[in-house]
Order: sequence, then C-alpha cells, then structure tokens
Amino acid sequence: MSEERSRILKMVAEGKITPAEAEELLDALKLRGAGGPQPETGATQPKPMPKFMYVKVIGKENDNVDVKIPLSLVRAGMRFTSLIPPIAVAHINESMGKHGMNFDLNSIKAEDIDALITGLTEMEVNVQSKTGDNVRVYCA
Amino acid sequence: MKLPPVLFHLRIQPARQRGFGIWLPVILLWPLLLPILLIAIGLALIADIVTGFRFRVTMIIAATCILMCEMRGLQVAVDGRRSGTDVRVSVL
Repeated sequence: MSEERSRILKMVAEGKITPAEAEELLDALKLRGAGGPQPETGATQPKPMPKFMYVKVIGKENDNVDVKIPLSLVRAGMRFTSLIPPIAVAHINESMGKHGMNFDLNSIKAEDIDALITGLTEMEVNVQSKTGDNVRVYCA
Repeated sequence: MKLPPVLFHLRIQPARQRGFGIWLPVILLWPLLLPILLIAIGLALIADIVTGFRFRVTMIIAATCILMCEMRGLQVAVDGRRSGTDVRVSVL
C-alpha cells in the first residue's frame, strides 16, 4: 500500500496529476485498505477457481488447435512425479541442474501442486511467432 | 476423485464431405474392466512385495486409474484447413 501511496505522490511531484486527483486516488486507496467499496468493479474480488486450462493455437493458414484440459487432470498428472523411481529422479534432477534449474523433484509436495494450480489463475501465455502462428495458454 | 468417463466422442470431418462421429459408451466397458483391474492390482501387489516396493507398481496402477477418471471434460479440436480435415475428441 505504501508503495502505491509513494507512486501517487511521485506523480504529483512530477506534475502528471493534480493534487485534487491525487487526493481522490489516496481516498480510493484508503477505502480499499479498509475493505470498503472498490473504485474499479471487482478489482480485488477473489476470482473463482479455474476449472480448465485452454490451449489455443491459431495457425497462419487457419490450422487451428483448441484443447480444453481439466485442471484436475493436470493436478493428477503432476502427482505422478511422486511415483518416478528414485534412480530416474536423480537423472532428472541432474539434467535439470545442467540446464540451470536447481530443483529437487522429490521436494514437490501435494500442497505445492495445489498452490501451483491456484497460481495458474493469473497465468496467461501469448506467443506470436514470426511465421504468424499464435499460441495462447490460459485458465478459466 | 471423479467417476470414470462415461462417453467418448470422436468426430472426423473431411472438407466438403459428410463427416462421421462415434459416440463410444465407455460406461459399458466398466463391468468388463473392473475384474481386469482387480486382477492387475493383485498381481502388482505381489510384484511390489517381491521387489520390496522398489517400482511402486500398485501405486502406478492406482494413479493411472485416477488419471483416467480425471479425463472427464477433456476436449481436443483440430481444424486442419491445410489437411482439410477437422477432428474433435471429447471425453464426457
């Protein structure tokens, strides 16, 4: 919150907004902090938990691919990591380490997977290739 | 965990032709698959005891069953303008 306040004050100092506008913004911030009505409708309302992950590929020549994956399937799939034999886990960890990803596959717990799935709510990937293909991955 | 899929739908639509769709009632396969699954779990348990739970075969079978059940709602649609064929797969 203090960061937002300082940003508003900085904007006043730079002359980007008038003191009256800054006052309005600061009031809105105060209301938000007190749990009052939101200046933008639904700005901080908790989003419903997504149920599906969508992968959409729009090809240059209209070769479209549309995949709708239930997130519970992703969750179940990720739990398979705990079933990987220890020898294979060592190989995977070593290989990932070589590519700059220092992380232990054994350290993934069910709670981490749930947190990761929850985090997917905010995720959206948009890729536009030079060839004109468009890939979009998001959850809803 | 959800119930296993009850229907599987596959639709293939070639360009400028009448396509076809298959509704496969997977629900009818459940009674056939159940005894096979029970036998497989029994064998996997024996294999696990013999190998000292090194490969966790029973867990892998259980996880596969869960994965199958979670497939409900999966939809894949491919509109192949270049190949001229549209393919749609749904698991319900």
